[in-house]
Amino acid sequence: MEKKFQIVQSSTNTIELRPPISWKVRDYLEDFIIEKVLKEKQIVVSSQWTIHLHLFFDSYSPRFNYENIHFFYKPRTVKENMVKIYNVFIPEKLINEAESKYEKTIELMYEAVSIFLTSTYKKVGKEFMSESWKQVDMKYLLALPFPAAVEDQKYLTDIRDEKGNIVDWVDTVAKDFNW
Amino acid sequence: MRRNPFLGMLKAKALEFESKFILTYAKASGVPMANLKEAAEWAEAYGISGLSEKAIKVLEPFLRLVKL
Repeated sequence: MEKKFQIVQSSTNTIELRPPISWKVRDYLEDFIIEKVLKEKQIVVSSQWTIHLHLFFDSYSPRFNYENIHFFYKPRTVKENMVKIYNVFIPEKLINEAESKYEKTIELMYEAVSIFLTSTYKKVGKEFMSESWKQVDMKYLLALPFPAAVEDQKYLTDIRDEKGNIVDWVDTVAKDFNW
Repeated sequence: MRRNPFLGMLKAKALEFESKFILTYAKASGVPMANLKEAAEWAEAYGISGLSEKAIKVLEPFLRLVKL
């Protein structure tokens, strides 16, 4: 059964330089949020709409120099699929500056989800999300392989090329057109 | 559920591809923007006002999606 809350993961960095995080982290966070927040607060789960929270790990560049997570509160709604897409930007430099890059990536993902929920639903408060964070099974998450194998990262635009290697579809288009 | 013909994906998934595509393209071109809506508007404006023929060709299917 399709989850009513899904995290979509993208990076503006290359496959080699993006956060090498396993898809199982977001799978866990989706389930955790559905069980501990959405069901508890009776939001989203009984709605006709499915939520896609699109997390962009955003690499630094002179004109994309965010210091903090940015959430864009206006969703793109796709009525024919009954999906609302929300976008959140996570500056990669917050990860790169951290002592434990893996732990920081997980924290930032949770923070991004928290910002989305607390900004979108009045029933969800910051304190509630901070308290819920304590219930996240970090032991399980930190036991997952990091860096994860590329095929286990499953970023949005990952595809297999003709040789069977994982490549970023956007990069293949860029190469075709000599960006 | 009706599927979008774009790569055989749901339209929602195709729009997510589009967002990533536009953002990456804008970033590679050093275009400042506050959000993806601006990025899409930028891409469309450039498509009209003189982006290279190659770039327009690449962006065309995505710009159509923006309008849907």
